Amino acid sequence: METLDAVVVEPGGVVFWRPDGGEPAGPGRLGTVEVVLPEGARTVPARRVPTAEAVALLREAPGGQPSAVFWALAAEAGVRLADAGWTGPLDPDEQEWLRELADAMPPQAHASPVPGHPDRLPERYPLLLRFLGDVAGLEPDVRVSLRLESGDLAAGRFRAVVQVHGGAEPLVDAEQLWCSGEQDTRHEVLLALRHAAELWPPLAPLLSAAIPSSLPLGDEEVAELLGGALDGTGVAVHWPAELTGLTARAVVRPGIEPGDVRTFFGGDRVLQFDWQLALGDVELTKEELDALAEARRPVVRLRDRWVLLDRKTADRARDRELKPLTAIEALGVALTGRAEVGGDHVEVRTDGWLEDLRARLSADPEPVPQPAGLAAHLRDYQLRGLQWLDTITGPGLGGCLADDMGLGKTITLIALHLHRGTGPTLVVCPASLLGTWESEIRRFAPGVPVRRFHGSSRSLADLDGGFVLTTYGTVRADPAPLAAVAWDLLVADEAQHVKNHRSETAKALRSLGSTARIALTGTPVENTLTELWAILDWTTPGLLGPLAEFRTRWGKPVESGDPAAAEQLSRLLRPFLLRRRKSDPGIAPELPAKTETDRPVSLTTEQAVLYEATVRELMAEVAASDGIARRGRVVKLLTALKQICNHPAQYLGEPDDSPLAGRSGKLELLDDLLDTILAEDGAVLVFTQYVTLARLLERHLTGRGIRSQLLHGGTPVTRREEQVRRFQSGEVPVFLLSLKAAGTGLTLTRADHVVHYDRWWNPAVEDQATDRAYRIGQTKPVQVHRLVTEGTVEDRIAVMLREKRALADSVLTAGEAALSELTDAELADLVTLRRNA
Amino acid sequence: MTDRVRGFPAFPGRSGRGPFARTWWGRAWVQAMEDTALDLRQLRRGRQYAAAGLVGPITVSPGRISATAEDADDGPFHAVLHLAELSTTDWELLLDRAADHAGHLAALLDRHLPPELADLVPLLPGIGDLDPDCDCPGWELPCRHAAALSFQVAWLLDADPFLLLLARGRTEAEVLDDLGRRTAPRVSVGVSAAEAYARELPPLPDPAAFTPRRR
Repeated sequence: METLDAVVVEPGGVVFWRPDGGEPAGPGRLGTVEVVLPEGARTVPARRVPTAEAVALLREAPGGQPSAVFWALAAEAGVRLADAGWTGPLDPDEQEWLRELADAMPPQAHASPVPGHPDRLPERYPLLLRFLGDVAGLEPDVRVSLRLESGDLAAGRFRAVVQVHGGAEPLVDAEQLWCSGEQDTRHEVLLALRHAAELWPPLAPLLSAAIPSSLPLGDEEVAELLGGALDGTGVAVHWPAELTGLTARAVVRPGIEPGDVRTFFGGDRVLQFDWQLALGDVELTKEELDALAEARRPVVRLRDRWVLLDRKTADRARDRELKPLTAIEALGVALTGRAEVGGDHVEVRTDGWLEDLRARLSADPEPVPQPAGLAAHLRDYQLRGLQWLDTITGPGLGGCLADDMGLGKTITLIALHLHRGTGPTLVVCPASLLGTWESEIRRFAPGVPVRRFHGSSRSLADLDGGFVLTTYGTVRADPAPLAAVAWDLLVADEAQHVKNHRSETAKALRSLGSTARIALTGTPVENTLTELWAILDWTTPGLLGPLAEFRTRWGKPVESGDPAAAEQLSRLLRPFLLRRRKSDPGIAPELPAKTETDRPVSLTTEQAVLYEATVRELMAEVAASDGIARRGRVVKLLTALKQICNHPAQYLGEPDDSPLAGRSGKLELLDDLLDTILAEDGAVLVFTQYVTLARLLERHLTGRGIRSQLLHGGTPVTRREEQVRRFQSGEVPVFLLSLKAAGTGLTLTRADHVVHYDRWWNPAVEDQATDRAYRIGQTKPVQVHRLVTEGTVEDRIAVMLREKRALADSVLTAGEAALSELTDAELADLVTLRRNA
Repeated sequence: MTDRVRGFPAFPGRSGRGPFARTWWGRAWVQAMEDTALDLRQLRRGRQYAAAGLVGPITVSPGRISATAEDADDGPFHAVLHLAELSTTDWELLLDRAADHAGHLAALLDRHLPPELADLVPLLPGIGDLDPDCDCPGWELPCRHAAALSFQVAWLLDADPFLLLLARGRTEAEVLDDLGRRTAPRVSVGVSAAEAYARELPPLPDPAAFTPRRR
């Protein structure tokens, strides 16, 4: 590229010209420019290029005429300012460098004379600033601001200097603008001042002078400016840098640490809540506050500095006490770090033990050693969950553990029980989960007493620590005996069941007394603020305030996308809500690829009656026969019992419109599982041996508005492929499959849950089905749920197979017909229903 | 110069009550005309003609405001209002005062006429200043056509007091330029070209030393 000719700048553009009067080379529109040379003014050929293009030309050119080198450096400075987000005022060190640059401006660089003055060139620094403003593309709107200056702070003499930026002027004083600026800019300044003076009349004297350059201010006016007199006029006020303002914040004074923090937060003690004023980070003393309260002037001397004192701050120095807070309110504002006082959102701090507690609650939980007596190895995130539970339940607060299903909320809670070592712990859960709780407690905390308070077994006698399991229905119907116990931990599993805080269940739940309350849920409660409020208002009453207030303060701002509100809410909730997802980076690697869980459920009364009658009737037939006939009757017996365990409607062969809900423990649990899985946006395979049951489930799910599809032996290949595609694409989240029909070549890797609705006795067959979902290429962990009815043949056959190795082998090869080898007594022992005592 | 003669499209009819003009100077204009009128009947007709939109496009130039007016009988007629231009002395007085007081210019730019300026020199017509003329056969002063024009001029003045200054002899641009020159301090403008060429040039500062603060 050629070196550049001489350069002068104009508003919006750059002019290339040659001192020898020749025609300049390069791009741009050809014209002429008037320049002053040592020998006098001349008009020479010129090329004009808009500033934006010229900046690129100047920066790329390898030097040239001194004026081109100068403007190239200026363009570089302009680009750096633009990159730094420069919008107007310059820092002193920036100004210093730019003044140095302006001083080095060669004569050719500003050779275009001032209009009407052929022997004078434009001032260097203002010309440079105007060019920089052009390069940085500063807003063309003219803005007027007041710079407050004081020659004598002690005397409190202030002068407001009118300054202007935008337009063709990056930042100049009005005085300067009237010397060299453009008339249009001056007119805009006059109009802006006139309009501002209409709103704040003390500005009017500016307009009685020839040039609206500056204005002396009295104390009253300084105070009004401090109070925001010009807010809304578009005229900004810049205070001298040597003057500082005071920071006002509210402080919770927690006083002496209460002996029993647990009862403290539930009690009606109040905490002192005060204004605190600070200069920088240094708190003012009481004497200083008294002095401020007495101050009659907007500028006061404090700690060897001059300080601006607006009326509001002076009022706060005088009336320092705020309305006291209840203990739980105090914890809430300490956690959010903000409070609303008289319509202003102010910063809140605290100290002493409350600050320690706040810090402990806000910190990330540290892993603790897992409790002795826990017959399992907790994963790292489960240990962190345990520490978190320990942190909040320690001071008697409560919280909601909302981890994804499959992360082990139950075992974490069992670990907490062991860690606290006190008990008793009451677990309230849906009836379908009683079995899971009991089996997990027995498995992971062997020796810890566990009993059910449900159905016919409702004894709380001789309670010595341990676990009591009950259902929401029982709590609602029979709260009195439960309310009479002083529980250590009170746990609400699947806590979304009490999201309606006005329901009878929720009220009954609130009547139970405990040291700490924990809610467990696998659904993303944080998505619905009202639901979240209902759960946390139960675990930690009062923390979130009344629902209406909570909605106004957080619901609306958060839903309208206010990031500050969302951040404050999250600070408030974070200590009380722990939610981890299977997909979280810290969690996923810890999860095994496949987790298998037995899900024990109880029979409904209808099922139990039917089961016992069938055992009586068919065992008599078995006993009365032998040989091939006996073999056939054993298979008939087992099939009948398995169908009853699945659903009475299946066994009875009921018509398509028969009612299904509330009649089967397994179906109830399946509903609960699906609710959680679908809330997580998961996908599930449900296997059964019976096409009739699959049809029944399909009808039931359709009635609940859940999309499902059914694959069985008779499904044509093309339809099969379409079903697989729809499942893999997420269109249909529930896939019902008959175990035999599953065949080969199905790839169902979208599933993250597999439910075995009935037992096959043959683990190999179950595994093969499970592997439909868990295959190479599966990126998510898979959870396998095996539904088992308690006290029935399903429950005990596995035990028997473990004990009788030979029998197990023959079942593996010959199927359940091999069970006909058992004696009548053995068979009776296998099938007789054992009521849970 | 074209902006010495400014044309305005005809007003459509206006209905409604209340004062005929909105601003104090618009009302003062109407008042001046009404005070000098000899025939109140013609004034009333003029006001009706103005409100009915019977006046055509209006031309304003120094010393002269004119328009044609429709008339049911045998119009249209051409009406002219003559008024004296301000003397050079008066203009000097006016501009000097405005230049001393930035608020006056601010008010004018905001399309307000500062009363102080109107008190200083005869901007608004006094008795006999407004000299109506019309080619209609009537011989009343003003006739209803000139009166109608005069009423509508009050509307123009409401919107832009610079038109009053134009009728008195100076365009808006002339007034603003003059004020601009008067308010600029009599200090030297720019730097001397000779000095710029004669001075010894300091070196350019080090670009590496310029690192603007990130905003």
